[in-house]
Amino acid sequence: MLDVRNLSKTFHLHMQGGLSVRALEDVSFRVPRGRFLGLSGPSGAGKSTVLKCIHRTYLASGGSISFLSAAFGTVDMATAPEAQVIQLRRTEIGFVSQFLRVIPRVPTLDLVAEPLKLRQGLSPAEARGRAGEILDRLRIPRTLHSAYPATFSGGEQQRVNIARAVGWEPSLLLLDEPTASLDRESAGIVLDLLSELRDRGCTMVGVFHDPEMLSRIADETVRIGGDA
Amino acid sequence: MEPLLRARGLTRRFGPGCEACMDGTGARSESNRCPVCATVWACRDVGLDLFREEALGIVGESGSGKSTLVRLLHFDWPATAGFLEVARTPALEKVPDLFHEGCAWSRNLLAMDKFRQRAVRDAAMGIVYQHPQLGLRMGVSSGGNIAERLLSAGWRSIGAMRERAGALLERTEIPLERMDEPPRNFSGGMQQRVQIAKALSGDPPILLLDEVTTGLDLSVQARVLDMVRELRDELRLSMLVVSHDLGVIHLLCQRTLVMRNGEVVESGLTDQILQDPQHPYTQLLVASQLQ
Repeated sequence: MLDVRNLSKTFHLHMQGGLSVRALEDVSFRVPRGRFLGLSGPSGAGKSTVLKCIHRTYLASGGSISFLSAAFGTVDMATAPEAQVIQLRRTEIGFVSQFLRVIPRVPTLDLVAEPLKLRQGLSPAEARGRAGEILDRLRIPRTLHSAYPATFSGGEQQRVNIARAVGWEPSLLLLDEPTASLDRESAGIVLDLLSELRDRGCTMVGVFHDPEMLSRIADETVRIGGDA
Repeated sequence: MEPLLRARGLTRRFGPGCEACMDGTGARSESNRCPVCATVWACRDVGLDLFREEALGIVGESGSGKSTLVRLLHFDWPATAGFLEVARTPALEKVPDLFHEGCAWSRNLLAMDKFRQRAVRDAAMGIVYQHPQLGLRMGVSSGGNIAERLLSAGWRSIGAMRERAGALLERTEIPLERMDEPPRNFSGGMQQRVQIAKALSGDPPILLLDEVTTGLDLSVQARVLDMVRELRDELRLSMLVVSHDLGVIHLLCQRTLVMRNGEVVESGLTDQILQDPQHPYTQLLVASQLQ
């Protein structure tokens, strides 16, 4: 489903006198469909960089990232045309970051319903109903569904982020510290939700701060950076 | 995603131009004004593709040529040089002599006469300017502002125009009882919403937004942004969003062009431009953003 070969990434920082920072060197792994690959390694090793290269938020400096798309066949995310990447992000590849970034003053329920309308073609009423169920599942109280998430706690914002990402059933989901600011119980709920998504065939690559979380969900682990 | 509008080599200069212009101006220089002949290159050799149902962002500091680019695309100003073509759509079929037989792309719009440019604009584009007084007649009623646009698009029934204007104003949350008031009575945010209603009156597939939230206070800005996002999805619009505010671009646009001194220095997916900028100027721009 996903085949990363010899991925490398170097940042050229022009403002700091042309400084070059080698963030990744020669990373290779393969993830079969419906499996969860965990990325481990020390802070700053480049775990998030791997995810961002797959999502094309970062431009890879070398190597290839082959993704098997339902619409386009095998696509190299390192070099695919922008229009194709946009299409893939709309229909097949999801990304959960630690931070919620949304238009201010949109109610939580609408934020979660939006990808369901756009990507799964649900009617506004269906999408809101489904969004409510996902938020219930993640224990966001009903009283908060009509509130703006800007006022939420870090953990609540993170769960809204997850609700936005899992509802539309992407075929590849990239997770950057999805449980970072959650208590154990909430983190457990998130992991359950992710396992169900995996069981329905979603392929996942995730970075977790906590090795215990990683071992609970990952089918396989690859160590990034340091001396493996 | 299929392209809808395609520009190549789009250029607008003010002044005669000279041999020193090429090296003395542009993205690699400090200015877009030639030190020898004082020609200003407001826009130079800009190429862009606007896809169907995408929002394309244009960022850059003041004077980088963003608004000039919009004015060239909207035929407000003639271009000095360049090529602009639009894909065949049902709305454009009625413009005479726009397409060659069997061609998916139009002839060069920049080489056409004013009347046909106007017909293309009426059928395919809506625009919202940073300053409402550019887009609206401030002393004419809000409904009248929209009716004017409808008239130019060939509408004739006053009842139908009034109904359409009312529906558009309602969609942009202007209370119907204020439809007969002129925009000069309205707040800045309301004036922008009247402009949006007017821009959408001809059901255009393309919406050009020039600094649409600049100068609005934050709470009004959020409402206008959310409205633009809703309309984008609801009406399946292609949008060109010009802003110096990277936050606005991030929220609305999938792809972004970065301009400096009239030239495009970098283009890419918006999150890539913001998180992994390649060009020194883009790195400076991103690093200067308030967090």
